[in-house]
Amino acid sequence: MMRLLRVLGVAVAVAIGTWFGGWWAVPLCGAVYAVLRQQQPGAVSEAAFGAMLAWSSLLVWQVSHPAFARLSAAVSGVFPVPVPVLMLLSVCIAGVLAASAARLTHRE
Amino acid sequence: MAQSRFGTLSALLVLGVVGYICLRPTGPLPPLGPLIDPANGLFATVQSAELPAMADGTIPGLRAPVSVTYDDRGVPHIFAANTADAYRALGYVVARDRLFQIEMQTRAGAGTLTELVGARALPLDQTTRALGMPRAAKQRVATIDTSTETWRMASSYAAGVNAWMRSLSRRALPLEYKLLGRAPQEYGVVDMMHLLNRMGYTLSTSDNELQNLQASAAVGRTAADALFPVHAPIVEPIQPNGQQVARVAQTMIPAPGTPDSLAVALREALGPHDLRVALGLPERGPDAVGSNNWAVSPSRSASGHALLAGDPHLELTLPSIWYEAHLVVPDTLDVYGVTIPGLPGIVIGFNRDVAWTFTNVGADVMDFYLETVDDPVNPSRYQLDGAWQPLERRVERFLEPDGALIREDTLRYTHRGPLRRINDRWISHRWTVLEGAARETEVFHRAARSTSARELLDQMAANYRVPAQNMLAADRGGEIAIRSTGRYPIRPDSGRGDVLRLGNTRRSDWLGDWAMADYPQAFSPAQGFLASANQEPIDPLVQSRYLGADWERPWRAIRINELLRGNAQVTADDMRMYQTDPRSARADAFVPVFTQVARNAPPKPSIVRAGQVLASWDRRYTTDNTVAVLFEAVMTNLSRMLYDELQPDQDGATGPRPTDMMTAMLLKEPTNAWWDLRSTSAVETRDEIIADALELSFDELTARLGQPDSSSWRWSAHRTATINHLLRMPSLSRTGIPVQGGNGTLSPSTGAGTHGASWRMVVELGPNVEARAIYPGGQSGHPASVRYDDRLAAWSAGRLDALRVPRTANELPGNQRRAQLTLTPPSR
Repeated sequence: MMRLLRVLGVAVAVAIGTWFGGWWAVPLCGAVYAVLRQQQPGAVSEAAFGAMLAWSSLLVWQVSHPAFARLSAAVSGVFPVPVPVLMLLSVCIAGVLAASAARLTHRE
Repeated sequence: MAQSRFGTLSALLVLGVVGYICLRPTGPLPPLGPLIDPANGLFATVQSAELPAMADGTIPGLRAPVSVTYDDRGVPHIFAANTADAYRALGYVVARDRLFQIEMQTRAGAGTLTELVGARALPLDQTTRALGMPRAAKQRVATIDTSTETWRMASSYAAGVNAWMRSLSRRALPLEYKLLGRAPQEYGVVDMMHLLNRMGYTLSTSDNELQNLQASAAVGRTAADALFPVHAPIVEPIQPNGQQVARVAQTMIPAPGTPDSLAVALREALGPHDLRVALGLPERGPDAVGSNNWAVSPSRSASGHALLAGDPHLELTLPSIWYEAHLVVPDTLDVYGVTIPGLPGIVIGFNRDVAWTFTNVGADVMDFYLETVDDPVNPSRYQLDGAWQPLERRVERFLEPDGALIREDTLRYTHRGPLRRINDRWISHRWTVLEGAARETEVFHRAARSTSARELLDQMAANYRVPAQNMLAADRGGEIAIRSTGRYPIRPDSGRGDVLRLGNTRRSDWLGDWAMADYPQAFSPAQGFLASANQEPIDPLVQSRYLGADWERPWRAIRINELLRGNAQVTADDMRMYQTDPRSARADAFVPVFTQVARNAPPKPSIVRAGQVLASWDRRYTTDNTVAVLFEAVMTNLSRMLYDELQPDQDGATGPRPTDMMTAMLLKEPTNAWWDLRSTSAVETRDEIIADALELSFDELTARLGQPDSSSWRWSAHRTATINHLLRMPSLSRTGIPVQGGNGTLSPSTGAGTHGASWRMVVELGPNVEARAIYPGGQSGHPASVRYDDRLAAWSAGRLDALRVPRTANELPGNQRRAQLTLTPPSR
């Protein structure tokens, strides 16, 4: 339960950071979280899951917009991958960024 | 320990790689981080797809609040207390819907597209700069007196654009900026000059002299002059000539002659180029910019009011070149119509008293000169009247978006204009577009305040220079009027502009400009209507002075005059239907001859069948007809066989190709030597060549499409409109749009279908102005907005929308309101 709350906490921090700062808030939050959770096991994975949850939530918010289908159709031909794959990729990148940054600052 | 170090190094590596692709462009992709950021990146664009129902904004310099009410068609109605505020608000609302378009089109005119899209735009930018357009824009801005109305309007508009741009958060940036990984640039008055130059590039370029040169090199000057005549031999002019049908000036077309030695030498020196391409001029297919306009006097309208219709044909893009808007300043301004994003003013439209629209004149305002230079590779001087004159040198730098240098070009200028090297020769050009006046940003404001057709045309004639336009106006008093307005140079000796002149003497220079009194024009003519379709504006029997030689073929002019002459009770809906009338005057000129030849030709099954199919045709390019495809194939094959003498011997070279108007003239000379094929020893005549073209075309089509009447012969299977996004991204473009019309019809469609009616408007000038209009696309430049392409279906079907023209914000009924924007000065 505590672990879930920690993941949620990371997610909130990442979402706020992304909203106001941009994508680089993801590795920053990951790194800071790992510093705060020095010597604690699971910090890296918690940072990763938190970042993925944050970006997934933000994407769900965008997808729920009535115009999203039109946006999706518009950008579908621009990228070499379908839009859902691009979104999945985004979430994965958030996880990788947070995890790698957390791994760099974390001491077990 | 080792495991931990490995883990750290791995994390560092992963973070480095992923961080790099998030920070730096990878291949064609922009930095991935900002793009995939779900709060600010690509997907966040969806939040700004539609305008909010209520919004506020601030614009520096605004003197009073401005109310903007968007109607149910997405059109902003701007209610301002003064003119400068109205133009500030116009800049703001246009940028709100079309910010990327403004920058893209501006950069196209400035030759700085590489700074937006990268090195792939280098050839376009090089051409733009080599033509001298950015230099001319900067020179023009430098001449503006900042205390004038021109400056006030232009700078107010730019302030509005910039106010919107600065108010944008990253997440609200237009999609295209995110895809390119760029941010918008500040907008300035010079950018308006770039836009005006770009319009000039589209509408005021000509390579008549080069076509004529190539033809002279192949068949001699006499034959070349006959096939590329200065005056159209089928005359249905804009300025009425009192005729009830088109006048045909039949003269014998000389046989192909001995190549002109001077032209041959020049052609060889210039190389086997398509010179239009070599010079970077826009390509011109038939009807590429085939615009129409016409007006009907009260005496011939069913309502007893003047009627006006206009449909400028341009390259169709998404978003559209036009943006619809309505500006109201009490007791000063009440104008509705379309503006070009980036330009302050309604270009085509109407107020409560007068309506106006344009077609392109196609006058020759670009001349070429063969220069003598001191060094064939790196010249620094050119010869003029026996002395060497220094060339002005200017280094043009082309930059990547990150500021890195892509390339430097050294451009040279003579006193006439830019100098270009083509193969081994140096050619300069003089072009009115480069000498335009800054007042052109103001003329539309003056037009908008006119109270009569005559006043509007006089305002235009006094201030407007390029690109020359057939300006048609109609007013509430019942007057209809047209004037071909622009700057027309007077040339020395023959006065012709379609010859390549020697640059080494000032005797080749322009001598002045036409006086307004000499412009082709007509005011409320006795016939009760006026029409223009890019044809030669004045009957050469009335005035034969050289104005140009690149006149649009007469087919559309013949058809619209035929329709207007045949209807003494014209309604607004008739005008609408005429705009997409599918009947072809071109087919009327050719099909009777084709069917007669088919009947008299040797009874080969393909010829007989082709003749029967063509005879069954009503000569209408409706989407479901199955004959137009055969007619077009015959016309293509006929032209190829008929003008074989003009085809250069070099592989891959393209020769000049006379228009089908000249082919129509040759129909009347069945034994003219042009009908003979140079590849055979026999001497062919018209009927043999037509029979061959019929047989060849029918066989080709049946082999490819099956038997006639099958669905694959339907016109809609061959002719559709293609509307590309400005960045040519397929998923942002719309293709395969059914259109009614073809080569030479009133709504012409040829080639790749990328050109067409960019705006259709019909205005009835009664006590209350009533207007209907449409353009292909929608008000929003946001691809996720329903207003990105919401007008396409109606446009394709030839329908028009009723326009809302409220005098006050309250006059617009609640069910026709969609959004409200209040603009105020920034709080101190």
